[in-house]
Amino acid sequence: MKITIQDIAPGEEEEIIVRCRDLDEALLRMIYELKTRRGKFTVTDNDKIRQIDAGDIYYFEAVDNKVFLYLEQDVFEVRYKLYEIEEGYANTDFFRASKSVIINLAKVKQFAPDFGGRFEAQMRNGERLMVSRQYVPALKKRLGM
Amino acid sequence: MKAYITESVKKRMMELLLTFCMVTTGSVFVCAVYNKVFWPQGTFLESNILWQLLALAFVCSLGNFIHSYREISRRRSVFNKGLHYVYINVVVLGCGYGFEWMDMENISMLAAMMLGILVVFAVVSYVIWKLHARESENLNRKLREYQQAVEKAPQSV
Repeated sequence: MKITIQDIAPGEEEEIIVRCRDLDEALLRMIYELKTRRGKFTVTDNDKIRQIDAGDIYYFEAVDNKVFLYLEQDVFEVRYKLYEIEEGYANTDFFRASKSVIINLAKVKQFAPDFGGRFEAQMRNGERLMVSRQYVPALKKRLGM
Repeated sequence: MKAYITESVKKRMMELLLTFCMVTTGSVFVCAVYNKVFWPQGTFLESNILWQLLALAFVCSLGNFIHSYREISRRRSVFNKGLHYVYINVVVLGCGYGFEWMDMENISMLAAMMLGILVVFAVVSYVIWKLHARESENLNRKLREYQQAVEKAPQSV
């Protein structure tokens, strides 16, 4: 497959054009991954290196200068700063919900009203996370409100 | 981020206006009942009372600023709510004393005023909670649309 990269003028929107005869399964998967910017996180699990699909992550949490990645049941430490994840995964399903948490919107079951203008994100695995009041406007914008 | 700050300021101003309107309505209602109970002949009401009620509602609305937009714990949030209630009590009872709406030594007047504060505070808090709950319903509707769009993404290309 030939890949062509073109320079664009400042301010012009970046664009990926796919030129193909058939939109086969592999191409669809690749486009989907581009659209969702799905990546993998490398973690160590009992001295074994393991790759975690970003789509399987429920949320990230920073605790005492360490960042943890939460799956449905497992928890792993990752060697990234929270802001790096936030920047690297901007415009994907990941959303900064508070100073210490980034949630995966695809894994949120629902939002519930909470004290002081905040919301509680109820995750599909039953965990409850706080969406800070200062991030609510960003959440609304993200969801197209 | 600047857009979100502007959004926050706009939201805060709207909240202030909404609280002002609700507190004004509540104050007028409490004033009418209070007047009927303690001054059945209607000798209590003066023209200045309207300005006094508006000033009271405005100062009470400023209590919204106790609730910070900064990230705080749930416990702190509950504490702030309590602090807000104390602030309202101080303002209303202070105005009641300053504007001579009541005799501080008359326990029934004091009790009626505090009951009025409790009722208005509870009603305003309930209305704000209902608005917040409606906001969360809208968020959930948009979340479902968002999740459906993400699931359909490969097919929709």
